[in-house]
Amino acid sequence: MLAVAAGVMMAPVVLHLLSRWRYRSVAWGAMMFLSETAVPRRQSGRLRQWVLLSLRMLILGLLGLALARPVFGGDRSSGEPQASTAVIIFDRSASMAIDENGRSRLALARDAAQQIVQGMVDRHVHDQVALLTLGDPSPAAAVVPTADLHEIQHELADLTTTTGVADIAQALLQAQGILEKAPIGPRAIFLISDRQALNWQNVEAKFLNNWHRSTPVVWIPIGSDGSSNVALQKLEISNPPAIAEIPIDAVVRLHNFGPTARNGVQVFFALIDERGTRRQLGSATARLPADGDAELHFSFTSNEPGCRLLSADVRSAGMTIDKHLDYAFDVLDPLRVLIVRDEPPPRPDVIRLALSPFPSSRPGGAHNPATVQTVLSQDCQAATLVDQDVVILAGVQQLSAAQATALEKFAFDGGGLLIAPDESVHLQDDNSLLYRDGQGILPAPWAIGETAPRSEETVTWFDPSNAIFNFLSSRGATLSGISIRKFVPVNVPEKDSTIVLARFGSGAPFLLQRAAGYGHVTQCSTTLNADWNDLPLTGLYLPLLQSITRDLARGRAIRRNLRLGQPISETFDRPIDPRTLKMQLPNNEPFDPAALEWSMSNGRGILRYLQTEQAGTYRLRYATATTRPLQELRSYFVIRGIQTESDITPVTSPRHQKLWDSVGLKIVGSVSVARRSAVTSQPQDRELWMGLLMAVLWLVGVELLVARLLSHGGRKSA
Amino acid sequence: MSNVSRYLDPLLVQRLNQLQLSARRVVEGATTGSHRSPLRGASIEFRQHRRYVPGDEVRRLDWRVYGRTDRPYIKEYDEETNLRCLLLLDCSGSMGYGLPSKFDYACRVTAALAYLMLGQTESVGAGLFTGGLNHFLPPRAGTSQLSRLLNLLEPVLPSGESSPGKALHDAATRLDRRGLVILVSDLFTDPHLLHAGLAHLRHDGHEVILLQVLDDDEVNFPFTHWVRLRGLEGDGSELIEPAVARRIYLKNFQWHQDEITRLCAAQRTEYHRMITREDLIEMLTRFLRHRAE
Repeated sequence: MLAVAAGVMMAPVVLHLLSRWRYRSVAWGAMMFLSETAVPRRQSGRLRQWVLLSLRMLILGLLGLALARPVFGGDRSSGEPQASTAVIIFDRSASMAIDENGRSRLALARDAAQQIVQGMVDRHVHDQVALLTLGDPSPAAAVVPTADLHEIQHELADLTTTTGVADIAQALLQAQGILEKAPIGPRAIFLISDRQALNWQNVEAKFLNNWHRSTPVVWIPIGSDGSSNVALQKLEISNPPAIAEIPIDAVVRLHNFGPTARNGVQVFFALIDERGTRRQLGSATARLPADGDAELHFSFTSNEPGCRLLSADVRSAGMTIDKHLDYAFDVLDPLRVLIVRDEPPPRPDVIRLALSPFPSSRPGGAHNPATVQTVLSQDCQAATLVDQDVVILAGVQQLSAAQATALEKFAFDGGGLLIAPDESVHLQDDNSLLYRDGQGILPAPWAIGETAPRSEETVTWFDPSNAIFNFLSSRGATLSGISIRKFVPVNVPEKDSTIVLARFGSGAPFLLQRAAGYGHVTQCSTTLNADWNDLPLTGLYLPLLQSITRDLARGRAIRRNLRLGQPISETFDRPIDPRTLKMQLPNNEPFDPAALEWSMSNGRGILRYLQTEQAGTYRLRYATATTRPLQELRSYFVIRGIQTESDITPVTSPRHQKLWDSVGLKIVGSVSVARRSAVTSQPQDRELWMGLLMAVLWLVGVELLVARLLSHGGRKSA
Repeated sequence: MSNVSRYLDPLLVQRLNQLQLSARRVVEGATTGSHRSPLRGASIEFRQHRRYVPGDEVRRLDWRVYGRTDRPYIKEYDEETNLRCLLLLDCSGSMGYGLPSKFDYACRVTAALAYLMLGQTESVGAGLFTGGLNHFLPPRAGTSQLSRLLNLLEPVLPSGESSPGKALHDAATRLDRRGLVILVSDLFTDPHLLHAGLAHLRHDGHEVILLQVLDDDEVNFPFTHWVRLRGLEGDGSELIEPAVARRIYLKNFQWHQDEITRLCAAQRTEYHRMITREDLIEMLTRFLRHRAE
């Protein structure tokens, strides 16, 4: 239609040019009356001619447009429906897994989308559809509309929920870009999502700056506007590392997103060993305030060392994806602790007793968390430190440089080191060998010359968030009962890696810690025996020393609970057959063998897996090379996703209104209404031909007037 | 075709024989004619006596007065002298426009006037000009002068730029006695330049007549379609849309005519416009009758 109008508009121009080309040439004498004083006037006259020409072009163009019978807001140049282009934005985020009267929101959304596509199929006018999905863990590739609507239907049928978050703002902009490149014809965006307010959180000023409000958007909300949901938010072991036969304390945190308190929310725990055997551990019950948290503690034991997967499940209405959490960890053999002294151990050896209180050979009895060895300082060498998890320097007077280097290497390899002074310690040597102006492993240098006893101190502050003191929080106890008669002050450096774990009433540090490579070093400012304090005489000594030792041993544990994108790394102490390595992904899809990197180092097999963009539990399957027949084992890794989808609070009415105004959103509850209003029907179209015809008549009058003025001027001069 | 029959057809000659060109003013002439000369000399009408001064011709002494008064006096007369007329013809390119061309028409006017005046024993000269006075035939009497004038016109083709004002200046320097100067041209020039030339001639005491020869197209600008006008005096070409150009042309043309009329009145110069489509004999008859009045 526009092309015809443009062609008609060009007719005067063509005639004008033809007239110019068909002129005749005349020899003329009176040029002076044209080329001198007449020049400016001729230009003005030429301008008037162009005005006349433009008027005539406009008249013909508008006439052509009127004959084409245009309509406002649509196109009915022909009686046949035009091919339309639609973008379907389909929400498959985690919240779409919520059950709605026996059917998930995803299934309801899929039905709505299928109806829209089927309606286009039935029109037989080669409509095009692009499918954008919300909640994909990684950005989708460029999407282009396709006329193969059956392919779109197949894609819709295969869609499942993800663990990702829906970002409607980003999808709308992407859909807008797709429609801008689409062929001429009706266009629409169908947004099929639930009513979750979080989906719209990015529809703000930045989005609106890039959004064209004229783009037609029809929102088909799916599901109810209920907001009740209980989610598991955290699952971990509070006293890592886990040690065989030693109680393992698990803690789980729940959050109630609903407006009412929830009582009797049951959480079920299960443990899966490295052979894949699942064992139900039991359950715990929580009371959840409205829109609040609750933490549950649960203890269990594991008899054998090896990798474990701890699972927690909560049974509650709402989403399904946030009702289950996994936590992967290693159960270790009792910790190997080496005590380094200048002299043979005193009797009683309170350190040994604290770490290994029971006879280890006692069958069926209690089990020690550690096996303790003692070595004299002059016999302590690098080889001595091999196969140790934690080394305790209990008042070693003076270390040699080689010993200091060996301890430093031990710590950097993941070992734990506990350093405590006594009267004989050469503090200056410790500073120079272990602290080395901040370059060593000692958390803080000893303050030389300030070792004189002061008045008795008590430990008045400790960091309750540190795992070392979890035993206190479970008992509701403090360290204030410990009386300290003497300690060595330290100068806490302003280094991020050094943290103070506990302080005396004077503010002086009692316990300090810093990371050193893969390992950790804890510094105690008083003795570990009763020489300077009465700590060994209290009931806190045993759990405190065991807790410190376990905390120091965590450097040996493999990091099995990771964030999105962090690589999986597994070290095998025992020989395995690398050909049997398989990675089971969270969604059970086939893994990419190229993403598995296998190498050997110091007789240990090291595996790395890099593709961890998907949240969930990864199960590494392998077989040992020494046993026949091959025995398949598993190790577990948990990739934590971003759990913002748990808040399913619906969009509020004011927010509805704002979206209506700012985005130009059209909210419909019926798919058929949506399809009709957006693509196939144009009930608000208005014919424009009458107005155009009136404009033509008016312009004809103007043209006649202008032409009359021009010709009148010519005759008057003649 | 002979030069005479080319410019003076028998019918024209017959009508010219019935007319007589007379100047309103007394002009100076070298030979006795029908015009009173301001120069005092030998003639039949006595004017006055004056005292003899050395250098006067002795033959002009009035011996009777000398005998009675014993004082030498010279006898002066108002001489009857012939008209000295210079015909200036514009040969510029613009004169070549039209069918017949303005130049042909102007040549016939020039020839007719020369024939008329030579027949009355007047002295007639001619000057052909474009940018300046290119050819000059001094005024003389006698029928052979007509032949010389026609021979002067015959080979000329109109071309080049026109400058009537400069031609009038040149003519003023060539004329040693007062006379009649008739300028035959389309006068497509700057009126101010023309005015300067006229002022020069009038200052020298000459009578000047402007005969403007125009084609009817130049008066009415009759073009109705796109046309490219090529300048006949080398002034380029213009592609024009007639509806617009006509109004402007006619406005400028009218202004030019008004200016010429105004400056002729200011210089007491006769001005006549001749259109080539009009009959030459009628045009000359009208002109000469006007002169006779």
